[in-house]
Amino acid sequence: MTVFSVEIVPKDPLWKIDLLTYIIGELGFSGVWLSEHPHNRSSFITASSLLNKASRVWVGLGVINPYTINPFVIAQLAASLTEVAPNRIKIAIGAGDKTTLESIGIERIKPLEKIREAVTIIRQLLTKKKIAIDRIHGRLDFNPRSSVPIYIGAQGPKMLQLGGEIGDGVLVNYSNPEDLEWAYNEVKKGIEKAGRKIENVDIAAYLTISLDEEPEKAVKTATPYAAYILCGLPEKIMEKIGVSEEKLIKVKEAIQKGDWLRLYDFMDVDIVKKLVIVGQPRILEEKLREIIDIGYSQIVIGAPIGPRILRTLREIKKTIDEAKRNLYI
Amino acid sequence: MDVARFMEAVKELAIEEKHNLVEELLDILLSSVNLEMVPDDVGWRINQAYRGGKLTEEEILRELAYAVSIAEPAKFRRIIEKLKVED
Repeated sequence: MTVFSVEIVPKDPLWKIDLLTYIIGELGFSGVWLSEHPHNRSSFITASSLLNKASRVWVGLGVINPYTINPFVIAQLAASLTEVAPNRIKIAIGAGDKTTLESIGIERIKPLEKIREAVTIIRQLLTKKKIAIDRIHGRLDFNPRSSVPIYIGAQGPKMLQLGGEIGDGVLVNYSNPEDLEWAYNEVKKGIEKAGRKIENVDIAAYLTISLDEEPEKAVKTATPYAAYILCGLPEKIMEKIGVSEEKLIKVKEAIQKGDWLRLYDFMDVDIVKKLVIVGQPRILEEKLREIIDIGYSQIVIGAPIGPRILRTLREIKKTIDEAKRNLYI
Repeated sequence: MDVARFMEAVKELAIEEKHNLVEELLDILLSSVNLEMVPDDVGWRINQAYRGGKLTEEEILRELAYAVSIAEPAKFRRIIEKLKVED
């Protein structure tokens, strides 16, 4: 059965995030993924507040970056959250985008090794309360109240394979069904390499969506999100999209400076459409069908969702319910 | 001033129209990128009122209108125009 969840970006005040989470639960979605970004509110602090009140949904934190938060601290925070809401916490670990990390003075060295090591540390601390590998020794002096599934946030082929190899789940950050199919097969390679069963790995399509009856408004809302995605794309997908090196540099500069108005000069509508599910709400049903057919077990309705979030969320839920009736998912 | 005119016009609305208006205001507010301008205590009262099904109550509706008027003044003015509020 396909699980449907919604991404919330903690850039807005807590009262809004809390209300949106309540509405998402009311609409019948299973969970909320709180994205983590150094410019926004802390996803851990936000989750702690939400979980105290929201009883209908699970909360996923992701993608948490072990370059910005030490894996030991990630385990400590996740274990603490299990006391607030046992069995309703998930975390996703990922190497983040190079542009953002560089802008805060962090060098993104050996991302695959970094993620493998972080997952090992976090998992051992959460399950055995102690860790002793190479130079790292330590323990938790309290009991996590439940297990915490660890997802890997991935885009590139090697990270997707690593996700299949070691993750309890994988968050696949594409929206185009063709890219999602390629990414799914990369995850499968990792699953097969590790001798695991595919049904034991929650493979989630973390979609970037912007829908509105007026498509041009949907595109405008989607553009900054598409720019962020563009900056983190692996070479293979970048080539397919056909963005010149010169344009990419300009987009990165605009993001680093937070110059959103300039982004609209560089980000063509065609690029946005290749990276985001954008347009009128009715386009979603066909996309969902394609993505579910590939084999994804979770679909994350990712930000920005649309220029009018409440109306669009209600429409998306209707579309999902309709799809569930037609596809028996 | 705009909020007072808005509240005056709302008195004339039928219950269903009022509900639709509240939904529209809430959607504009939750979609706004200017929410740092809305005082947190106002936001939390709107949050609690939604959970308690009290958004159409006069005091809360006034707070909702106030929040929209500061986060999205142009959109709030358009709503007032739609309500055909006279000075």
